[in-house]
Amino acid sequence: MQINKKISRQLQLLVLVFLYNNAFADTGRVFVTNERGDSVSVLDGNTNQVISTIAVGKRPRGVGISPDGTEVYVAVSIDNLIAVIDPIKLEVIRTFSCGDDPEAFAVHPNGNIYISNEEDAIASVYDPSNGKLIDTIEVGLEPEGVAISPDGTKVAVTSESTNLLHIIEIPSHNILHNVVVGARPRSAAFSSDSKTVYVTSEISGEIIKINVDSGEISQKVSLGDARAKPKDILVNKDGSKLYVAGGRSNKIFVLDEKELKILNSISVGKRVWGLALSKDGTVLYTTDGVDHQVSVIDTTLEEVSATIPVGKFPWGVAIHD
Amino acid sequence: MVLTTGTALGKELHIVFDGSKETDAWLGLQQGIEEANTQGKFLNLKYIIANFNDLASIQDKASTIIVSARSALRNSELATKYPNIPVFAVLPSSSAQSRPCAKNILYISPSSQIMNKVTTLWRAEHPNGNGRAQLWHYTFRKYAAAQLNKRFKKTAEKPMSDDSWSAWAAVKLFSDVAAKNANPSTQLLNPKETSTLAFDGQKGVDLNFNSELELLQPLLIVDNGIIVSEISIEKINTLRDANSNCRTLAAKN
Repeated sequence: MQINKKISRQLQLLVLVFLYNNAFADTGRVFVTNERGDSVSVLDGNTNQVISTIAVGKRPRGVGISPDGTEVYVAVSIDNLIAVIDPIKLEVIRTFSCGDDPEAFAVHPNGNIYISNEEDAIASVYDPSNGKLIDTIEVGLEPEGVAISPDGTKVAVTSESTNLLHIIEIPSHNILHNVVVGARPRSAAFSSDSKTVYVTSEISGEIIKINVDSGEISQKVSLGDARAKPKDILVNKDGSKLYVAGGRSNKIFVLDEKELKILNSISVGKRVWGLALSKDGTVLYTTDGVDHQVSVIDTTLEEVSATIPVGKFPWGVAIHD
Repeated sequence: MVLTTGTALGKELHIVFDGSKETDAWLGLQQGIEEANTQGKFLNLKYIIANFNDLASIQDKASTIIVSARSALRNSELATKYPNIPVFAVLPSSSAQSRPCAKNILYISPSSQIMNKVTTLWRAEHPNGNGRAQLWHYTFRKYAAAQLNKRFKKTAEKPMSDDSWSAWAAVKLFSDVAAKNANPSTQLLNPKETSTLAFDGQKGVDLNFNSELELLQPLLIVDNGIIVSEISIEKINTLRDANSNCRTLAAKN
């Protein structure tokens, strides 16, 4: 009897572990916010088909995934809240208020989210498990891009109207550096070693490389295309290249990380805005706002392999992988 | 007013306003200064409104501008009296020909003549329309214009007009240059600098001054209170007078 009970308990535990692992398994789904569709399109990363469209509220923009993969967060700008989506059930499971006009955000490895509140000129820090505000950080006018260093020790916030990149220490939330960059800085991304941060400046059409420790600009380059208004930026898997969404140029620019030399440009849809790179680095998704589509890029070939119609004016994209 | 420069609180930069404080330009200037100081607190810079009596005591002329909401004649007098201080002319002159050609007058607004030409061109293409060219409109939303309009209305308690945008832009331009240069006024007197500023006037493109020191910018066509079109810099440039006095002078220089 004792042995049977022990086996039974072990089986129960195994079942729980199985259920847990399957519940939290990466689905390969791609979550796309539709700024004027008030929804999130969910794509199957294998078939490139839309498998669900989830109503989330007015003007969804930033999107991110919890470190354990159990939740997808969406900044719903006009409703001033974060909608939390279950990536398995594909439904909104809760919402929480997060200050005025949340736009972009980044998820810290500890699970907290750092949000830019555009109209309040602050970045705010929330614990998404209970929706509690942990801290606010005063930044410049119209904060937008938020990036967290892979080592979790810094957060970079761009303020669009004051042309600044703020490099902020975590957890003290003291500003380490205020770096004057080109006009209308939009997005930022850290190198994998957390020592370098890259910024796009939309109006000046520049990509800027900054040393995180010193706060000094080490390099910058103009995209050299009057229509190129760079927005999102990502570093590729081995750190050798940067991908830049070129806005109204309708191109993804591929830059050499060392010299910021433009290596290639890939034509995508109109007003390309958001970017997400698969964990293995082989697939890049872009949101092409005016064409209401997502482009899928094979990063090995640096070619578009598929385009997927989504909702109205797609803005942000995140991969559940 | 006691003026000090380079205090422990940060470097002070001075803005002299020449115009009535009952105008939209004054409200725009105040908005610009508030925003400049928001930026300045991160860079240890402080923007202060000064008056003409203060100018003699300001040591750091390289960190001073005049924003003029006065006539072309007055702008000319200011430019002559203060040759090393940039004078931002924020009201439209009647025409490019009527403008004084001085190396230190920076024109934020196109002339009324250009505005009228743009209006005429648009109406020719839209015979049933009654649109008119404007620098700005309080319903403008694109390119984060909505945020600027909202900030202005919150502070000034009225919608942002052409004149308020123009004065706001003068201060924003100054603060953008000051954020990158120790001697911003000197930079603003250098045509090589002013032609490559890539200024963000919240109009969606980078704005620069031409050789006549006019800020090139897209214009809005507003018909019955609604923005119906945006006219590009390139299209506006085709309407310019090739023989304007200042252009001839700039070419000679």
